[in-house]
Amino acid sequence: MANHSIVAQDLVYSYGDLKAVDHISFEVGEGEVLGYLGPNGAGKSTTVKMLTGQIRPKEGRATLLGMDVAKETNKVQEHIGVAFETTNLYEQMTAIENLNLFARLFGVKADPMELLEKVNLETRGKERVSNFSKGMKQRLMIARAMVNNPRILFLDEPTEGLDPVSSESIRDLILETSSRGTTVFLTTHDMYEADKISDRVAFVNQGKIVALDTPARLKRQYGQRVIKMEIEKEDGEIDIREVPLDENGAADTIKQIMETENIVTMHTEEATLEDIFIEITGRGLVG
Amino acid sequence: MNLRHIWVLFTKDVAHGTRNVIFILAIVMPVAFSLVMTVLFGTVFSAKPKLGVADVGSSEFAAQLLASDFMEVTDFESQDELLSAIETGAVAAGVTIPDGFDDDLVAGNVTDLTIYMWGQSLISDRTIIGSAIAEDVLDASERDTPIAVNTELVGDREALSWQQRLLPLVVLMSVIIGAVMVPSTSLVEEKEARTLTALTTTPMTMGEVFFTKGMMGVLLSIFSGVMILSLNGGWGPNPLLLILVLILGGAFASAFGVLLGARTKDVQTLFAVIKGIGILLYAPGFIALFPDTIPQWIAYIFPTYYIMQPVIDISQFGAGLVDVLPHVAILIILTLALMAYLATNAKRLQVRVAA
Repeated sequence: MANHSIVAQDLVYSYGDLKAVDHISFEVGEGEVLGYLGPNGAGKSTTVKMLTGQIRPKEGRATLLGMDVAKETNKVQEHIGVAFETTNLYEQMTAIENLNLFARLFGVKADPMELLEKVNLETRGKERVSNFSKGMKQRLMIARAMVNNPRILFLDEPTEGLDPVSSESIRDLILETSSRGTTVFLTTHDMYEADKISDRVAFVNQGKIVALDTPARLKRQYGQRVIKMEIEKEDGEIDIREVPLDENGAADTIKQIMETENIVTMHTEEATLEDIFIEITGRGLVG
Repeated sequence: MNLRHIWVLFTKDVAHGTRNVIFILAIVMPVAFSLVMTVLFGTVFSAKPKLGVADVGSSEFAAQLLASDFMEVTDFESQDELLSAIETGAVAAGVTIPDGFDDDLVAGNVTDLTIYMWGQSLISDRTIIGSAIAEDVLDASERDTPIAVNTELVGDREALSWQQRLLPLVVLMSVIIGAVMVPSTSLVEEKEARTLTALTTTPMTMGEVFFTKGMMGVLLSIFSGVMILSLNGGWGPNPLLLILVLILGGAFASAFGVLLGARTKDVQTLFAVIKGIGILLYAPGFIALFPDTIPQWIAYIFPTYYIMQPVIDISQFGAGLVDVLPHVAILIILTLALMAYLATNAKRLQVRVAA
């Protein structure tokens, strides 16, 4: 327990009759990146709101850094940073003014230029946020979430709408932050991102966690490794054939194809987290 | 309550919120309305000229002045007090009655009497005060007048002037526009921009946000009230009491504005609600417009009456704390009730914002 930055015990939250979060429990270790994955309406944001003290769980208990979030909300909030999916910056203020405002609210001395450098906005610090693109605003929100040097960072779809280069720099920033001991709770739709930077991922569906493990173990447990081949038939058409590698007789099947058919391409394929999510829940992550 | 959080948000609101249209309107509207009335009627506040009297002895002549129907006469302890009241415009003019003045007057020993005039007083006030004093001097001297001037009223003696009728509305506008509109729109704008969620995931509480927004409304309504009273020389003899009532009125209206902002989803809905309830907020002012057709007791059921009436009583009729205490007490109770509701529901309102 001592090394767990986040402990959620049997959390429940409902909006009227709709149970948004249904008895969710998990722990996140210090410096760990947890990818929290699920389609819209799965209960991801509601979980984040309970963990960040915006709403109180109807049942269960959330503890951050050993403090009960519902009872010691303000103390907890001193040590967390939250970057929201939807932009919520003061648009009439400059980037530096936004960062300074939040630093003053936290009662910390922060170097806004250093934070802006981390998200590649150092040249736009004196510009009004209303002139920023969506991607720039997203990066500024991440900088704002780090203004108090938080011990736990909540990131909601941090790379949504960003170009590939910016996304990559944000991912590097998350990894760098976590390597310094900051726990990262990452809510995302992006399976590639979750796979790449999460130590563990939790699949959330209809308010429940349906799987929680490292991406590698989930793939081993639920995924199928296959060899995918493109074979040219006698009439010139291309036929695609897949051979599951984990089935008995896979080697013989491949050998036979290689001897008798005209193989154009051949490569191995590993199951993606999306495939696994669909296999577990019967639905995709988008929508 | 963390004062640092409040100060940080307040300075942000002052630096950036003051460019907001509502903020500018809250200052401009009541002042502009008051200026229009000033152009039309000379001054929004009392039509009677204000005279101060410092009676050093116990003069019958001074008593006669104090009983005047044409002027609003205030008694001062000393000439110094009187002069400082004139300098601030609390009274338009003043006269010091020396000891033994009555006897000297009858004996024909007095040769002149100085009337101190406030530099910015209206010409009409100077004329009324000058001639009223001259007439009273003549009466007190017990001498025959060369001619008898008779005054005859034409028209309804009881009718109130439009200036008097509009005054309550101006008072309400000065307090309500700033105190209700600014906190409510500021809160709703923070909600719409979702910055309120960003604020409440820092150690700042919703209660502190409410307090800051309310404080802005109180200060703005005091500023607006002070501007109107100053522009119209409506401070009366108890300016501190007037400021106290303005603070209380601003606090009540701001608490209401915060509640409105907390419960409203977006700016469009807020304006629709304000349009709907505006008539209730300004009702006492509208009721005062028609004293002959609407029973005035109806105004008592509207909370804003308890802001409006003490302001008018103090500025127009020179009322003191004891006179306005019942109304002020009701205003305090209403304000505390609203604040208690906000304090106990801040957490619940935070959940509404977050959900």
